[in-house]
Amino acid sequence: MSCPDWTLFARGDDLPPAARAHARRCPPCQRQALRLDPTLVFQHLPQYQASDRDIESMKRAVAAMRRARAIDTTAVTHGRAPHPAPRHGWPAALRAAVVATVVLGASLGFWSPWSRQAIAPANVSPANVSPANVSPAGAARANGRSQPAAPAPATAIRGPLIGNVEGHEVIQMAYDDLDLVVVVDSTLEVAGSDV
Amino acid sequence: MSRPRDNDDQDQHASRDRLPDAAEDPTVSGPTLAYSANQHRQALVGRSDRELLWAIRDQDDEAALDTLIGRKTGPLIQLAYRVVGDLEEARDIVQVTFFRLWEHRRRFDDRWSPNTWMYRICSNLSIDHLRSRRSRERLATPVRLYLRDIAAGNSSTDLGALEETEVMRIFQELAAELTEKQRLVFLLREVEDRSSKEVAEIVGCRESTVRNHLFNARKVLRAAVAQRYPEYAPRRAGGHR
Repeated sequence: MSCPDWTLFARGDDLPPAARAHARRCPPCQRQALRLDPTLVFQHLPQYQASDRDIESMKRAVAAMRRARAIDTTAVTHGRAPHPAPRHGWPAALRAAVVATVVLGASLGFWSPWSRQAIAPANVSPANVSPANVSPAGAARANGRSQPAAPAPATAIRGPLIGNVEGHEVIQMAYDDLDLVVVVDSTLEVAGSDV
Repeated sequence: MSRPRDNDDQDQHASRDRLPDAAEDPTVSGPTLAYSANQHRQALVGRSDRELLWAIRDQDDEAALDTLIGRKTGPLIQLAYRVVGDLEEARDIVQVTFFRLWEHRRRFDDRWSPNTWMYRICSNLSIDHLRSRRSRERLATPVRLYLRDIAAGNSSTDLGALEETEVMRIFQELAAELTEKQRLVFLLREVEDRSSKEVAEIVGCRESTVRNHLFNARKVLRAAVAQRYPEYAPRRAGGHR
């Protein structure tokens, strides 16, 4: 297309596509076209040239995201089926609240659903409380030995160990899929450990 | 303005022959493994975008993804940068674009243009990002003040004399007046010089809608120029504007 007579478009609201396309490729016409339609200047926004560093960085970043996803979807489940992720997080919070309520009730003597077994203060202190040293099941897991599948008890909670240690009460509970160690201090603040 | 070469043309006639898979290669064993992997990567260089996507989709070929990243990082960052106006955010968007491409690789349909598919993912992410950012903040510093400072020693009212970076800043300021779709259509059609058909496929609408968005985008931008930069507003013959 030869250079158009730009004065013909002077009163037009919008330049014809052919004229716009011509202005894009004809530097002498660009100035005249720009006076008619300043939006044409945006045809020449700066171009981004990716450097080798950009590309390598992008490859690494994408690979890291893919690895993270792979780890996420094949998380170690210790032989159990993976748990579906809670949709809003409230089931875990609810479970913790129920456990805390039960623990507090038990520790205050209002309610004792389990048989209590005192832990000698010499053996257990808040600093060294762990599933490994307060229950055989925890010890076996900590030593890397597989835990034989035990028949499910009537209740979900097996053999809690509760003891008073220097003003703190230490409670350990073993669920089918959860070991919980709770330390209740004198201010009744609850600290838990989800293994 | 030239745009990065697309491989769509040759894609249309590309054969469905599978790429040689390193795992299937009988020479891949023991000490020759690294050499064969390099050979495999080199073989990918000459492949079209469509063939790379086939390798990604059908063979989970990570080397093909790397090749595609090498080829498309620049154009995609450029598009995302023009939409969101921030280079670092654009890089993040493109990173997620490639990740999504990998995650959804099985969904790639042979009827689609590879370029269109990637641009669609990237543009959707860019628009989502723009919407979420707009809800958090507004452009704090009027670019006009910045430009006024620059223009203080320069009486030129010739838009063509502006530096590219200044043009980009003006665009970012004025494009805030556009809807996300108008901005995307304007960038793809007017700036990147893509066909209406391709833009329609990327944006996910009809060609007539693309033309409509483009017309309205130009109208809004012209009005914004006249209002904020009257010195650059069109001068019609006979003093008519």
